[in-house]
Parts: sequence; structure tokens; C-alpha cells
Amino acid sequence: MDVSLILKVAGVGLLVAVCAQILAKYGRDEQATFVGIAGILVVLVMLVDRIGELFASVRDIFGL
Amino acid sequence: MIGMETWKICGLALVALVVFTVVRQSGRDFEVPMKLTAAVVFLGMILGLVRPLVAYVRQLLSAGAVSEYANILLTSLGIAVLTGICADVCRECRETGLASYVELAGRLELLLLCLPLIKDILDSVSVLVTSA
Repeated sequence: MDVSLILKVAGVGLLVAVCAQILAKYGRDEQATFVGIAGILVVLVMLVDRIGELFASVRDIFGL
Repeated sequence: MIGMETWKICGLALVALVVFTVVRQSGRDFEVPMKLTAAVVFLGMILGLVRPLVAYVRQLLSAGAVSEYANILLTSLGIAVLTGICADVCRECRETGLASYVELAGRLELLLLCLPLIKDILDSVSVLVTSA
């Protein structure tokens, strides 16, 4: 768990923002919305494992 | 090495600050995922600091007669930390309703955890009253 995760999420965010802006400029607003949703889903897939690890370590440390 | 973790966390916070600012300008959709990522990364590093501390306290308390109570204490500390983390993340994303649900669940579970202790106290009080 390091700075790389934050940078990955930021990279996905910037990429999605650029794609959405280009699509919106060419009048494809629906596709821009889909790209935004897809980006958020990709980030959530990346995060779910980490959140699971975080909760597992809390349970491990405090003996829940 | 003591002190290195603080340096890492401070540097990471500054890097995350810059990254957040850049991403926020390009679109507001990614605010919640970015905050969630930051919470996960920072809390993961902080839990690395908490682990030896809790292990030491557990070792200190396991020898005496209070080990049963120490277990309850540490478990309730864990519940409080977990619900605190979740509620803070929810509140930071401006979902105060979700935060209060999580906190309510944590409080109720702490109360459930404390019921045996309350029973112990009442038992000893009743022993005192009947012996007097």
C-alpha cells in the first residue's frame, strides 16, 4: 500500500476526464457519461481488495 | 526505524494534495474515489504503527487477572476505530446520514459488548448489599 495506488487512481481520473471532454466536444454526451461511470468502476475494482485488506488488518490487530 | 513512517506519511500527504488538486480541476466525478483511496492508503500505513502498540498492551495485560477485561477493552477499541474510519470517510464525502448509521451501529455493538461487565458490577453490588 503505497503512493502508487494514489497515482494510479489519479491517472485513471485524468484519462477519464480527457476522454469525457473530447467525447462531449464532439457531441457524444451519453458516451462521455458512460466513460465516467466506467472509470469510477475501474477505480472501485482496484480499491475493493485494498479496503478488504484494511478491514482484515483492523480485525487482526484488535482481535475482532 | 522510528520516525521514518512519519516522514513517509507527511510526504505522501503532500503528494496526494497536489494530485487531488489536479484531478479536481479536470472533473468532479473522481472526488469520492480519490478520497476513498487516500483514506485506505493512509490508514493502512497508520495501522502499521498501531500493530506493535496493541501487541505490547495485549502482552502487558495478558499476565494479570484482568486479561478477560483487557480483551473486551481491545475489542471495543477495534470497533471504535473501525466505525470511526468508516464514518469519517462517509462524512468527508458529504454523506452524513451514512456516517451516523455506522456510528449508531458501532455504539450499539459496544453496548452489547459491555453487557457482561455491567452484569459483573451489578453482581458485586448485590453481594455488598446483601452482606451489609
